[in-house]
Amino acid sequence: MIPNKNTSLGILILMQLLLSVCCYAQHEQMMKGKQVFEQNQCVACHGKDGTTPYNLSVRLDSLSDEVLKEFIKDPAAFGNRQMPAFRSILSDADIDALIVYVRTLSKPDQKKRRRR
Amino acid sequence: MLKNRKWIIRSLMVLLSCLTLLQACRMNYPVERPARVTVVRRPELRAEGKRLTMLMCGSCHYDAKTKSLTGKQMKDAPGIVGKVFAANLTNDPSTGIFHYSDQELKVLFRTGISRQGKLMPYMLRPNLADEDISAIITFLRSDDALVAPKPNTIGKTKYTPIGKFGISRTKPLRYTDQPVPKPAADTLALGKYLVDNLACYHCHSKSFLKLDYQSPERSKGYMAGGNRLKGADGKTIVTPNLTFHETGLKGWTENDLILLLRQGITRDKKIVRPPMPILPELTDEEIVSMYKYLRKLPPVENDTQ
Ligand code: HEC
Ligand code: HEC
Ligand code: HEC
Repeated sequence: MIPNKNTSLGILILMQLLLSVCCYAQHEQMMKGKQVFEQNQCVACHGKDGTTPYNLSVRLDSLSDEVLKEFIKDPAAFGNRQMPAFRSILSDADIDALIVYVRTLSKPDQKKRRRR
Repeated sequence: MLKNRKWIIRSLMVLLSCLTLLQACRMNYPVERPARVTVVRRPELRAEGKRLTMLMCGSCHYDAKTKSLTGKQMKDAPGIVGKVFAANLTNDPSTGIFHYSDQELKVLFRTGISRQGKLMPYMLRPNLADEDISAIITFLRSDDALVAPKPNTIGKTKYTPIGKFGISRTKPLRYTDQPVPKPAADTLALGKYLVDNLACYHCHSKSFLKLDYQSPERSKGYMAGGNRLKGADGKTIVTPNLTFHETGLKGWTENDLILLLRQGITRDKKIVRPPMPILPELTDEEIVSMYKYLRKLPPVENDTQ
């Protein structure tokens, strides 16, 4: 069946809608992640931009979400002896949001904007 | 003539004070070569040696980036002291401890003097038990990946004159080949042993300059906190009082201490900030013995917060 003009438009609108919902959800996640990041003293060691004094973004892109999640729960298992194990104070949902947020910190363009 | 004499006396005095100051900043000592230094490697202790090395040396000598004991900069040393780097403990011939003999390692722990005669107060562990020394040295000499030869290029310790002055306040100890036994499990003595050899009392007493390495309990303000350290953000962080006073650990349970020492989370679910180390290798039993020991110390009022 070849879709007519109306159905094409319908599909487009639907896609747009879905996309914005997705974006919105992503944005929500990010804002929540930001909040968790700042409330749980991640900032004490990584600063607002994730770099000072300890830079967290050096090899972030090579770590999958699953690995990152395990890392935040128990950094010692990955050989990190300075970062506390957040297993007992953060929920899985918190950590998921954190990961979305932390990944935005490692994007150079966004970092530049933040630094201004 | 009289004027001239005054001048000479003055310059002499200046010269003398400079000399005394230089002597006061003594960092190098003749290398002691005791006739007898007993060290035995014990292959059956290798696994325990690995745990002890990470526990007792890891917070300074382990680098998460190289995933081995290549050493790293001690970021909590204040800038006016200079730059301090914990040494490379891998078996690398040029930058590691390849050239150290087992005996020289033991002499370093007991006296605080390196094989080249340099004073290293961080390394003073006069009460480290022979059994633990054997375990640690057995592991350091093994083929484990943590100590596989790896060069280290991060830097060399360089003290400022102020740093030298501070470091030289610690006097090295004389070597004795007296056997030091390891305290039995689950005793107050083990708690004391750990507070000593994990250097809790270095940070949690009054000052690094007022420590008694041989008899830690005689250190000024022993375990009552108040030492001013540099936090990760460069700001001063005053160490908390660890005696069981209202201003200290009163109300803490064994589980609170376990969560804090192994995971770095405090009783009120906050993070514990560097330079407080996180020590995931500690067993429940070891933490409980430290807890019991700390509880037994006289409570001291010292509100450091
Ligand atoms: C007590 C200090 C401390 C706190 C608090 C802390 N971190 Fe870290 N974190 C570190 C250190 C140290 C590193 C290692 C940095 C390096 O490799 O130089 C690190 C590394 C990381 C990395 C990089 C991992 C890798 O292997 O590349 C991530 C991601 C991270 N932290 C996230 C967080 C998040 C999220 C929080 C808050 C929930 C947090 N950290 C809180 C000290 C801390
Ligand atoms: C508080 C931090 C700290 C701890 C814990 C620590 N070290 Fe060190 N260590 C240092 C520093 C800093 C230096 C270098 C001092 C200097 O350069 O003057 C050093 C030097 C050394 C050296 C001398 C290397 C040389 O160049 O002569 C050896 C060997 C050594 N450490 C082994 C160990 C072992 C084994 C342990 C565990 C039992 C340990 N250290 C625990 C901080 C520490
Ligand atoms: C390098 C210095 C250093 C060493 C070594 C050290 N600590 Fe700490 N410790 C600190 C600092 C600094 C704090 C405060 C951290 C903060 O305020 O977030 C602290 C906090 C604590 C706390 C939390 C107290 C409270 O009221 O929140 C306890 C408990 C503790 N340390 C126990 C120990 C024990 C036990 C050892 C030995 C295994 C030890 N510390 C070794 C520096 C050190």
